[in-house]
This record gives sequence, structure tokens and C-alpha cells, in this order.
Amino acid sequence: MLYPLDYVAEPSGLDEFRQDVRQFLDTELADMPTEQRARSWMGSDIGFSQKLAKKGWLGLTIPESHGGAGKDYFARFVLSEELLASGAPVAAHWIADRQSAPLIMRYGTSEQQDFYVPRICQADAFFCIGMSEPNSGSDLVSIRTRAQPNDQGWLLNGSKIWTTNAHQCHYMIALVRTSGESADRHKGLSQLIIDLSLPGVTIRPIVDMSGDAHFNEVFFEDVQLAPDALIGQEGQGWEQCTAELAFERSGPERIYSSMALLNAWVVEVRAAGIDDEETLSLLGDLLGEMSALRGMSLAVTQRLVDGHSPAVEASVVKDYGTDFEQRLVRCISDWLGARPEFPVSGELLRALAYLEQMGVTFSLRGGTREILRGIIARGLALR
Amino acid sequence: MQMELLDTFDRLLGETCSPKHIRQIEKHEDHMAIWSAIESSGFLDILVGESAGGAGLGWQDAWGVLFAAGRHAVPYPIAQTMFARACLAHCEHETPDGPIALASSVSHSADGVLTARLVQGALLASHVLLQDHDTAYLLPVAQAEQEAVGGQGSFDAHLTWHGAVVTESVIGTWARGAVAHGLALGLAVLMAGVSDRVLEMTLGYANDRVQFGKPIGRLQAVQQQVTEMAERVYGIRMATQLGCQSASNYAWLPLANAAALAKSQASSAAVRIANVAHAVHGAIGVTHEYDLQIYTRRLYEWNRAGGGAKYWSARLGRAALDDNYLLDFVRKDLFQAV
Repeated sequence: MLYPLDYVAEPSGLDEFRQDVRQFLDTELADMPTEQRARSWMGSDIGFSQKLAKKGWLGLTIPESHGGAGKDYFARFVLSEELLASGAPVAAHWIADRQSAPLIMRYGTSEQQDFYVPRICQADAFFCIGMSEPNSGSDLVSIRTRAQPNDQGWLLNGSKIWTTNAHQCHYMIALVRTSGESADRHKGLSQLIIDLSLPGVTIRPIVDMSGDAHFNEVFFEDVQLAPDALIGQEGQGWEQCTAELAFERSGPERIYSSMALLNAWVVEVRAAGIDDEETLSLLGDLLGEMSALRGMSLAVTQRLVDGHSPAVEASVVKDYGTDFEQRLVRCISDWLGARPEFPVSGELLRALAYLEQMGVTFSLRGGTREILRGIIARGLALR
Repeated sequence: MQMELLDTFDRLLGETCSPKHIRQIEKHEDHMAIWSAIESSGFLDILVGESAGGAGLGWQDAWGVLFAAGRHAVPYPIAQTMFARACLAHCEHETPDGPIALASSVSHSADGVLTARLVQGALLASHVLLQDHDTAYLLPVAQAEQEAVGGQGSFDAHLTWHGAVVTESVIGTWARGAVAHGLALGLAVLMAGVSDRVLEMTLGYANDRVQFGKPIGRLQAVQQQVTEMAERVYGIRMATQLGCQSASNYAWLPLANAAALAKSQASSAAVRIANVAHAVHGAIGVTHEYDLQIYTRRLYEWNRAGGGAKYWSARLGRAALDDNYLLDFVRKDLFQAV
């Protein structure tokens, strides 16, 4: 059953940290146009990721022994919130920082931890996640990419698709079949760390409808992996993947994807001196719902801090949050459509156009809405 | 403490204000006895200062009490009475017996006739605490012209007072919006509680009701809607908890933005929540015999009562518009980060 998501205060000791982050972003992003900010965690700038690493802001929750900052998930919430609300280009390191490093710390051997994690914290190793395949979207357990054990480790064949940022990454953590057949479903799936520079790996970017190429198709043809490519236990890949979901689904990236547009819109509304009831009501409604979602996201963060794995609660935040992110885009589009005389800037319209096109992915990436709702329904004990 | 108060009051109301009691109140059968049981629990004085004999607690703790009251769809203006008692105690005015309704939508004609529109629970109340601009009145319901304005099971009314009773009932000059904010926040928390109950009933029914050889809760079409409903229920729960976090210098007096956040979010989700509940329940849900309608009718009524979603979101938008950084408005004005 779902654990009630109740208000928790944002720890007050983090205000100074927030101000440091804000100051850094104000300087670094001063000239960044709205349509770039609208890319949010799809926007990539390796140099920016390296600057964050120099500040010590990658691997915030990773112990200092492994190059991290040893802080808790609330500190990470504050950092993520500031990065996302300002539209910082975080894509290069985002997955490695959010999911891969915590996964390796949780399931990896001490050799794996020592090898990968400090490099993640220094922005020297970027990771992507290999889940979907051409014939396995939401039905993930039907995947066919297979790693066959051999005398040198694992021989990998198959392909992954919709892999965000693979073309900029050094490693992929992939869910693959290591034993059994498709009919065995969850049994026989494992997680492997794949060095994407190995022979037999081909990465082909896929251009999306906005003209960007953030996701990829990745082919594996007789890729020979060492025995220590396996992360965690053979056959436990599904369970390990599921445990990651709470990290993936609950964060501020499910609230602020359209924030750059909202910020820009308010600036232009204010400049035009518009303050009719309908406009104010729209602004208040969006900020009110954003606040409720932020509170829910903080409540999930508290569960993480307390050592739980609130996967279903996180799914609630993701499903509700992505609905909000998409609604925001529709509402501002409608608002502009109702006011053809409004002196809207080209910059705002370009950001809006990007979000109209890519906003449809908000409820696809990281778990499709309709499937997610089935998971939540089970969490609600509908049977 | 918030959750302990919720549990304690929830148990008490389970005994004193069950659907059976609510049907009695609707028929005006012995209904003041039910009120007396609630009154004698002491919970109505939770916001009243300690020096005046109350618990001296703030809205954070009142949240649990009002959430429980909402879960039981208490027909009396209970949130209003709690807030009114705190206001009256603060200005050292004597508190009358019986339920006290609140009114902030008022017309005051040149000849001194005062009309309060759509007063929630008016027909069960002994008095109305009314604020017109900055003047506060405590008006006896018995001396008002009363026009019922609700549907079946509603106790809402337009109330009109003439002549001397209006001038005699002035009790002071208050900060503008005080009553409107108390009413909005109180109704919002009640709505959060009603929504919680309605979700609980809907989940139960979806699991019990078998069609096509299986519980209807297994139908994906039902799961999609119930999930959306649940998200809205959790959203209101959070928005009202946020609304109750913040207080002015007086713990019982809500801040304008907090009340606006809570009521705008509660109202924007209430109708969708009630509609899904009825869609899942089918025809049985609209029968008088079945309890669902006891709860959903309050969601429809309170959606617009005391100002609806658009009214309060516009107040919130007004406050936010001049903030250069929206995230800071959210953090500082709605989350009360220092």
C-alpha cells in the first residue's frame, strides 16, 4: 500500500548551499536563451558538467571515500531543483550522478566502486541506461539482448534503443538476459556495465521531432565483456532495476521540465503590464500545483533519507508531475492563442515550440503513463 | 501531533457523527445532541489561546482535526466554528453557544440591510461571524431572513439582516480578509478529508464489485481513472498541509497566500475526484441509501464555497507576479523557507 505523502520541511541548514548554487548558475548561464533552458535535463554541455564536478557538486550523496560529498538526499534535492529550475544543461552527467553511482555503491564490488564512482564524481565517466529494445518498450521483461557466459567473461549480442545520451557516454548499464529464455520473464535478467568504446559497439543517434539527437540506438555485435562487467547478482537484474526507480521517478525533474517557459512567460506578462484575473489565475494555479508536487517530491525524499525504497510513491509524483509539466505548456499556448495582440518575443515562442514538440515525451520517458498508472493502481491495492 | 489528533478525532466522530447521525441531522431529528457531543470533546477550542481556556495550537495541528471532520463530512460548520472561536477569544468577545458560520461575501446596502450570500452550514448555525471590509459582526441566525440555497442535504443559505440588529452586532475592526482566509483554509482541509474518504470508498467498491467475472478494479479503464483520482487526493492533502504550515504572528490566523494555495488546489481537484468516485460506483452511488453521496455532495458544494479555484488562484497569482524568481516565491511564500 502507498505510504501517505505528508509535508516535511526542507532542512534549513541547506540555504547557504542553495545560495552558492544559485550564484554559480547566475554567472554560468547568464547568456543562455530560453529555448536552450527549455531543454532542461535533455540539454548537454560537457564543459558545464566538468565545472559542476570542480565545485564538488557531482556525486553529492556519494561517500567522501569515493570522491563524493557525503551529503544526504535533501542536499541533492536542493541542487537538482536549482539546476532544473534554471534550465542548466545537465544531461551529460545526469544519469551517472542520479542512478549509476548510487547503483554501483549499492550492488557493486569494492573494485567496481573504486574504479567507476570517483570518475563519475569528477565528470570523467558518463553513463546511460540500456533498457528498451526495438521490440521491448513497456514490456521490458521480453528483452532479447543476451550476454552469454564464456571463458573470458560475457559475450554480448543484441541492441538497445531510445538510450538517452548514449553518444556522449563512456558506459552503459544495461539490463540483458544472461540465462533462460524470454518465457522465463524476470528470471535470468542481469545488469551489466558495458564499456561503450569496446569493439562491436555501434551507437547511432536518432534525430527527434525537435531536430535534436538526444537518444540513440545502440548495437552490440559479439562484444566481449570481462567477468566483472556484471553488477550485482546474476539473475537479479530486474529487482535491482526496480530498486532504482524511486531515484529516477521522484525527483524535481518531473516537476520543472517546463519551468523555463513559465519563467519567461511571467517576465513578458509583467513587462506588458498585464494583470487581469484570468492571467493571475493561471499563474496562481500553476504555482499552486507546482507547490503541491514539490511537497510530494520532498516527502518521497524523506522516505529515501529514512532508508526506504518508495517506488510506488515516486511513481505517483512522476505521473502527476509529468501531467503538470505538459499542462503548463498547453495553458501558455492557449493563453497566447487567446491574445494575438500580445507582444510575445520570438525567444519565448521558440521555447514554447520546443516544449510542444518534446513535451509529449515527458509522460513516456522513465515509464509510460498508462503503464505507470497500472503500477500505482496495484500500489493502491486495486486487485 | 497532527496525526495523533487526526486519529483521536476520527475515532470520536466515527461514534458521534456516522452516516446514520448525518441522516438524522438532515431530518432535523435531535441534531443538537450530536453537536453537543462534538462540542464537549474540546476539539472546537483547539485554536483558542491558552489564556482564554483553549489549546493554543495552530493550524498545523488543526489540520488533523479538520481532516478527520472532513472524513466524516460533519454537516455543522465545524471548521468555521473553530476559527470563529479563536477570533472571538482573541478580541476578548464572549463566544456564543452552538455552531458559528462564517461569511465574507457580503452586500451592505445604503439603508443598512446586510446580506450574506451562500453561507455554509447557516441553517445549523446559531450565529454568523461576518466580515464586511474591515468591520466584523457577530450576527444571530434566528434574526435573519433565511433562503435555503443548497440541494438535498445542504444547510447553506442566503441570510439577510435588517435594521438595528446589524449595528448592534458590530464586534470590532479587523484586518481585511481575516474571515475569508479562515473560511477558505478551513473548507480546503475539510475537502482534503472528504476526498480521502471518497477515495477509500472507491477503492473498496472497485475491489468488491464483480462484473465480467472479475472485480471492476482490474479493468484498466477503471485503474487509469482511480489512479488520477488518487493523485489529486494526495495533491490536496499536501496543498492543505502546506497551507496550514504558515501562520501570521497569530497561530490561528492564516496567511493570505497559504489560504489561497490550499483552497485553489482543493477546489480545482474536488469535482474531478467526486466524478471519478461516481463513475466507479455507478447507479448505487447516487442512491440516498448508499453513503457515497453524503461525502461527494460536500465536494461539489465546497468547490465554489468561500471562493473557488479561479478566485483563489488569482489571489495567489497576484502575489507571485511581482516576484522576480518564481521558485523563491514558492519556497518563501508557500513553503515558508526562511
